[in-house]
Amino acid sequence: MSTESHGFNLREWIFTTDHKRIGVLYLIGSIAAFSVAGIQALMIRIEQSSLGPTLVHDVATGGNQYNVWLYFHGAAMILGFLIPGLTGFAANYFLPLMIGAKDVAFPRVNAFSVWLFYAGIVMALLTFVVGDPPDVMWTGYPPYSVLTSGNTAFYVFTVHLLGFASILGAVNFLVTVIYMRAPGMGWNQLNMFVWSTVTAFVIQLVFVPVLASAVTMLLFDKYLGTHFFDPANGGDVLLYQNLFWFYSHPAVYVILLPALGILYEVVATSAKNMIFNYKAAVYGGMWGIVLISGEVWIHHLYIAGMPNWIRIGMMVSTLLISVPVGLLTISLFGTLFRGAITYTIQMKYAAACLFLFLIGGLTGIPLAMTVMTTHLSETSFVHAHFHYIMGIFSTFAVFAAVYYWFPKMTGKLAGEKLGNLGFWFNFIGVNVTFMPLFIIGVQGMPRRYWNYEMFPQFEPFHKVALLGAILVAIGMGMTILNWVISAISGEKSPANPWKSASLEWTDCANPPGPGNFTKDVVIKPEWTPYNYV
Amino acid sequence: MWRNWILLGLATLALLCAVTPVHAKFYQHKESDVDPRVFRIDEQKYMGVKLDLDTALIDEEGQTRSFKEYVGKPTILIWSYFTCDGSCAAVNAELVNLLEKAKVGTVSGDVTVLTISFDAADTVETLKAFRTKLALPPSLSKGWRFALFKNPEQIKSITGSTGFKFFWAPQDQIFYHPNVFIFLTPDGRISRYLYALVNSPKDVSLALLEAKQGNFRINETLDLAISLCYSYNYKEGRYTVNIPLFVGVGSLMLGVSTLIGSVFFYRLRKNKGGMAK
Repeated sequence: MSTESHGFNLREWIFTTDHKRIGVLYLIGSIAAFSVAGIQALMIRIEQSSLGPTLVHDVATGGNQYNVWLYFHGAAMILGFLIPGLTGFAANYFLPLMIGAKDVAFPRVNAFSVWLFYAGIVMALLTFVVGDPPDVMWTGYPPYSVLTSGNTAFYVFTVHLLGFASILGAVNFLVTVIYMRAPGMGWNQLNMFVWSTVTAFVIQLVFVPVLASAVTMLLFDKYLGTHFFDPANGGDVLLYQNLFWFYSHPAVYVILLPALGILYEVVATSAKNMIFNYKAAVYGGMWGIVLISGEVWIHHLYIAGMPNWIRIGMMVSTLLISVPVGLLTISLFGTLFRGAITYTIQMKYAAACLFLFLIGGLTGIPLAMTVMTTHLSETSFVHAHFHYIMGIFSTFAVFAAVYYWFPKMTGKLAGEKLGNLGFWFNFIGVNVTFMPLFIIGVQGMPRRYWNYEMFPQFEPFHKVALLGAILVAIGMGMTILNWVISAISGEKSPANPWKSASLEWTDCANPPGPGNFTKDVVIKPEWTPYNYV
Repeated sequence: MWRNWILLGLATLALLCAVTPVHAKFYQHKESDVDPRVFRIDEQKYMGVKLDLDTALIDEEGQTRSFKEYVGKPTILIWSYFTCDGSCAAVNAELVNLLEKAKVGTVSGDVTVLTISFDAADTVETLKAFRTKLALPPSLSKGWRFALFKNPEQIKSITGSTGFKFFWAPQDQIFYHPNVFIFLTPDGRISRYLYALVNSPKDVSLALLEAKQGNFRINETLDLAISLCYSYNYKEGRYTVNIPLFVGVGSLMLGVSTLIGSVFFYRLRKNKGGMAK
């Protein structure tokens, strides 16, 4: 049963079963993880801005120190920010509103899920407290993760907690969408964001347990003396990489799909257009990704030992996934076509996302091809590619979501001046940071090197990248500050500031009260959430 | 009386003299025993190595052929020597046994077995004698080829390129060498080593599947699926069940079954709620 009270009550927030409050808790936790991960990113950029030790204490231990930053940055960004930010915050708050549901199917399970998420965040933050922090990237590859003196257990338990939280979330929302849609709401009347989260949750549900089992066996290898991944004792070291990427490549789509769903909401509302090719985008695009996402993981292992026929097969399936992704991209651009576009802050972020998506997508094609990956693998080209397609793209989508639904959550409008300024700092900053990494990646700059004295020619590029990172840090700071200031003292928002046709705007108060809707929602057959004609 | 003692002493001395060389030879033999680890092939170093396919060989008819003419399909290569009265014959016979049990009866069609002598002294005659002695069954005889090196100076380099080591022991008049089946892909790359006399038909089948490099027939789909359940265990030198893979696949069911359980629970609760109303 959802509860709501007047005024702030910490106990109520901790023990809340209201999906909207849980959504806000996810947002706060994920922004906290994002902030710490961002500081780590800045430290990484500073370290690489000059040859030799810059921030690390000394040459002998510099590698370990740098590895810890990489570990936290990667794990916190993916497991602590992007996945919970998109499927935790956005889905929790807005999915039930979009389908006309008064609550979620299992409110208590939902509450338990957010507690697990916070436990996972705390576990990850303990990295900075324990004597031997984990230094295994976010991948945890053996044999290093087994042999290192770092506490790999922290990594494993963080994955367990956040993974379990996401499985519970997935079950909850799938049941909610299946059974709790407003009377009369058909499958083809769902918001694109709802479809995108449904498909993302299907992927989560199927693949997360595989990652959980892989890291559990890693834990056994390190602490209980088993040899699952130890070839010297009959194990198979490459199997870990296979199991890890079997989940972790689909995890890219767990991030990508809801991010695209948010873009659809923002783009359709800002352009006042129907979704272009709705059915093709949903059934061909989103479900196409679900179908193929489990057959592409090998491209992360091209340079590991494997028969050529597997490499070639996986190259084909990896390239094939560009078909559903292409359907979604065409649909997004088509939705903008001849639209009366209003360039709000969220629309600026959405437009930036389309640009970032294009760069990230196009640079993914050479990485899908075996002959080119052999050259580009483990270079900063890969680093720049996945930051464009996953890191920045999805972060910008979360920012677009927060700006788009800010009036819904707070009843206030987010400040435009600081918001726009933050956007331009962020947009220029990320491109200044990562474009140079593409260039030096092609020229052979390896990933994950804290000291690259053997490649002094790349130093100027790293300095430019640092400049970009500083711009991003300023932009992010402005953005978060803008939210806080606007939430406290922002201008009161009209009921439907963006003139959206979606249920969360047309039938809910800002913010929605207990039970979400003031009257029962009944959907007519001709209704769509994008009825702008 | 003292003569008897002298005779006994001389006899003892003679016995000692006779026994000592035997004793010495016995221990000398023990000392010359070769540590088998010397012959262990560094598999990680040689896996994937492509053999020199232009190497000239002499076939059973005395004709010159290149290595290239023998490969082109999955191949099991055995380095042997044809005057060997020890392990070579046993190893080749063991492969016959394994292939028959593994039901790889179509050696001519799908697979080639190639026994090549690394002894420069071998001739077409010794080759033929070895083959006759092996008495291959009809199902295997067509695709089981025997050959010699045409240029003996290439023996060391070509066998060495597969990690294979051997040396002549004059005191024993034999070659010391490892007994290993080397599996080659159709383009002549090493895809697996299986040490002879410790393997099962299943290992041979799995190694042959690996050597096919994806060129499977429809009726081999099940074999391919089964082969995914195993991985090569370098410590034991054989294929073992891949437990982490089973754990991973099993865990795939966890999320789906949680969803099914939740749907069931939700419907049950809803029905109870409806009935209560």
